[in-house]
Amino acid sequence: MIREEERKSLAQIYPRMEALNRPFWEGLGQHKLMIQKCPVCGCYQFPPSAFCIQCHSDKIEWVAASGKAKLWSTVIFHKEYLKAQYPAPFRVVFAKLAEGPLLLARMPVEMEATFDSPLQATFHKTEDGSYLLGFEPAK
Amino acid sequence: MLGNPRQKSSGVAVVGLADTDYSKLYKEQKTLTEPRNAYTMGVNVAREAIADAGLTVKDVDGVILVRDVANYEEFCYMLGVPKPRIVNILEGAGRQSGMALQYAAMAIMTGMAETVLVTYSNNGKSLGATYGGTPGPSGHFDYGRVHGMTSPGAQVGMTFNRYAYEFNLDRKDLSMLAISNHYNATMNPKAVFQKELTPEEYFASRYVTEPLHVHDYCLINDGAVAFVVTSLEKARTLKRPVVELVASSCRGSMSPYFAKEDFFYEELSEIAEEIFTTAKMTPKDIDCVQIYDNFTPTILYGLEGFGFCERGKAFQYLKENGSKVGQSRCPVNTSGSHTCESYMQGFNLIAECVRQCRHECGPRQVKDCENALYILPAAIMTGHIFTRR
Repeated sequence: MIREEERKSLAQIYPRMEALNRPFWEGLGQHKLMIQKCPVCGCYQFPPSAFCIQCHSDKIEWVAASGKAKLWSTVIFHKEYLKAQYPAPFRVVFAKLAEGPLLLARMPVEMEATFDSPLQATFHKTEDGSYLLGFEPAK
Repeated sequence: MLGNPRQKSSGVAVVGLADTDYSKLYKEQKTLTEPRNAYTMGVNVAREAIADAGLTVKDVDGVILVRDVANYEEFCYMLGVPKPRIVNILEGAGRQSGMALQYAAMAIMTGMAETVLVTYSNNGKSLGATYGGTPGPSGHFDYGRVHGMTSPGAQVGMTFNRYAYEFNLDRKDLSMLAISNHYNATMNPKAVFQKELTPEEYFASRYVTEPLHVHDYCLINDGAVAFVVTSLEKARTLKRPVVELVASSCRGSMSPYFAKEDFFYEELSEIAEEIFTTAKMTPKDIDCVQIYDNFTPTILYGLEGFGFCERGKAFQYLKENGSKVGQSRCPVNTSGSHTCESYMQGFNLIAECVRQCRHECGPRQVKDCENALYILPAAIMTGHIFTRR
């Protein structure tokens, strides 16, 4: 079980940066959870789109989320699909942000993962400088 | 408006069916000196299905292909159908087992084609497919993959963990599904796995993505399935058992994740309402149900979405009504399905619906089977009702 800061070779599975996703990935480096908000209808969305997925406006903007969430679900991987970066066992969570969207993120396998428990976003710089979003039980 | 104005099609039927011997292919896997050729496998089952229908290759005027036969020109050239009226390839995903039959039906009902061959061919085992780890086809996969989140099994595992929490269920009850699939497969000589599975074996087995055990996961194996679909009018001339596709409907759920917050309920229940209304049936009229199980929890969502029981009550329903052939009024996944028979991404489940309606299932035949239902929870969901005529 390794700490996120020790995780190796993450850049190899990082996606290519482009206009649509750059604000999110760069936001992690600034310890911000960037998601989109529509100034017309007020809804939040993630993953990003060039348009509001509810009212279809093209005025969609990026904002920093509160980082508050609840645990929607979790699994523990025992199979190693990505050997270099994710030796087993490791945990992934679906976090339901206070703003609404559902996100996948890290959570250490040894932490208590209680359904609907309050979580707070964390930001980890890994060994090669790539950042990872995580969630931990809120204090 | 479309196609042949002289063609009369009041409905569609599956008149030809063939598939590979999954058990034999699986046993031979280690001794192969080269990967199986998906085109050869597909063309072989296509020819068998056409012969099974009492037709010849010349009768085929529509071709719908799925998965590892992406070059439809090559496939049709090899089969000897140089000028199909409709022809296309669908991606290698289970959701296409709904679409493939619906597109065939749409072509026939509109007069775009009359006798449509559907062929699914999969040589993934030969090529080392793992259904996880590789980059996704879209950006949405990236947001999960950086966290180690990969594979549809993990997505279904997430839904099951949540489902069990929301409805306060005992996760151990999931074992019933794999055990039932194994039991049904003991009566299927083509199944890859033909032995019973005990609860002890299930619980001792390794987790793939906890809470899912390896027995909750579908197989990875080579194989191919082919159907011939035609109009009811033509089907009745063929002297073969007529298995009519009496109702079929589809819904998409276009969210960023395979995992759905309502466990596919909204769309499945809309499909169920449409097809049960069209067929003038309720779940009580169904004699056997085949539910897409890339991972066993989707069986639960399928039963609930189609109204076999209330939401959250699928385990209770199965305990009260059973799912094993010979022990249930409406057995579930009678061939052993994706975890035991073969993982042909829904196509072997459709084959089982047709076989049950033809009364060709031997020891696993559901007595007097008239109506077989196929349920597909996925990003594109489907329900097909087949009736023996």
